Amino acid sequence: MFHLEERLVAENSPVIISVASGKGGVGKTCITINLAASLSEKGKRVLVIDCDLGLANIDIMLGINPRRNLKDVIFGDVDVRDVLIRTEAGFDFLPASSGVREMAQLLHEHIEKLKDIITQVSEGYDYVFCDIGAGISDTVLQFNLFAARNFVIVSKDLTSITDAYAMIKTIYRTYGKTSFEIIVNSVRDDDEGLKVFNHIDSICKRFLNFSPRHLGSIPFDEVVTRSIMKQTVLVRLFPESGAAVKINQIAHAISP
Amino acid sequence: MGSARNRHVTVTRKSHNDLTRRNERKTVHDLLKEYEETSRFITEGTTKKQVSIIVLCNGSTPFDEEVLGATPHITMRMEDDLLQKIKELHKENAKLRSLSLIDNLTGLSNKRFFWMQLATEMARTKRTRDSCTLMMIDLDNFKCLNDTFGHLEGDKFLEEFGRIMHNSSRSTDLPCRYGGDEFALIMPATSVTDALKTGERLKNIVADMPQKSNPPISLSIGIAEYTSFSPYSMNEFVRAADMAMYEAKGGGKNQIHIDHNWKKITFEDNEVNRDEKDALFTDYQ
Repeated sequence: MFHLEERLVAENSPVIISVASGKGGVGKTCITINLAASLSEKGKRVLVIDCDLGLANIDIMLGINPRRNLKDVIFGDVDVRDVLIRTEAGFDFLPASSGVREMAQLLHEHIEKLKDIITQVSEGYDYVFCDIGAGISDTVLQFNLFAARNFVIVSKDLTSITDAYAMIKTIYRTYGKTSFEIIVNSVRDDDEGLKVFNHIDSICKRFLNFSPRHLGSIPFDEVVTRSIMKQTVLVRLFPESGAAVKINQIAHAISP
Repeated sequence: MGSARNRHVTVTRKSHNDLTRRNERKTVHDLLKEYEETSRFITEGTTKKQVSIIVLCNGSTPFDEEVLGATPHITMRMEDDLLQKIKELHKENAKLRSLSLIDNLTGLSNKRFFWMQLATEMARTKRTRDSCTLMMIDLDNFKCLNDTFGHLEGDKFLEEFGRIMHNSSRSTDLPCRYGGDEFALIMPATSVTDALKTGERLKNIVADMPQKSNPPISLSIGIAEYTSFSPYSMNEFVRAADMAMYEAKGGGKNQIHIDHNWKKITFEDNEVNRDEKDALFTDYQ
């Protein structure tokens, strides 16, 4: 039933997916661009929006140097379509600015404006990924509320699990959302990934009374670092690697 | 990270006969390119022009000077002298910079560096979500020592306490002399529980010191924690630790107090509570 619903939605209007992690440095951005690349390889029209507004870095991961970014759309009068970039990996990309203080602490009205911009620019895409910054700022919460599907990236570290749980709890308590889908990153094998997921799942069930969905686990793979160094997406550079295979499987789970 | 070669330096260009002088801003990269071209012409004999360029210290680093100074075929008539001066200036600048960040009596960081570092650590907490703890320490009865035995004795004690602070803090901690007889300790990635241990240790060391004055000097300590949930600004964070320290003083000195917003902030509704933390920690091996 769930899958059928998803398919119906995908055929009609864009599915907006937030990708968050609670704790920084668990591989959120890397997973986002690789899922986007994998989905566009499957023929989907995909847009990635860098919503890590104060510390954007997708452009660096992709080796592109955008002239203009979301800041110019929010604070200037640049048209959002002039900021869009078609990447070599096949998906479109809306860059944000890095190191700009105003962007890290957006006022409510700016967040609203940004949501309008995203709604407007999403037209015509199948999937829109919003890569959200770490932490539980108001901006992070707002984007999670706005998105139809909420991906949460965790690693096996207890701090990452605790922070992911803290974020899930906050969003659930504030907005009543239960649409969380967990991706466990940097695991030894599937068993370890499942163990991490089951741990989060049991605590969500016990204290919040709902179960998140397990989207999959991605093994630790040294080619990930190499793909980042080469500023190319992993699924294109090392499509046979363990991590790339898993990412493709997750992409299939997102869009069967 | 910006490449060293893209840094701008100020160049004073003098003509042959010293009649004209021009100042311009150029990158090290462009300068080197220009040097290469000129030296090619000189080697090929197509020009007799010798260029003297003086690189002023404005924006240049010892590295720039080394690169530029090593360029062949360029006469640097006044430069040698100037380069030497620039190097000396750099050394002096570095010394001044370190002096302006270090308290000269205790050798600990001073208030200025404290504020700089606190901003960094708070930003790190927001990103890594490791909480950062701040300890404000005030020496009880210090005035009494000063008044009875003179300021030199007082200074001696401050120096000794600076050494204690330095020796009993971890390499990631930042001990500072905040002012007169007030000290601060920034402890990144440290919980209140761990900070309490450090506080107790400091208190015990001072209690065991042989002391001249009576009543002896002891420590009143205030601790505040900054988590990624904290509503604190930088000023408020310092104020919270300060208030806790004043409470410790008001409560009879020689004790440690924790910022009373701590529990409210750490265990507020949306924050992961004790039961959840227990479940998260104990069930996961």
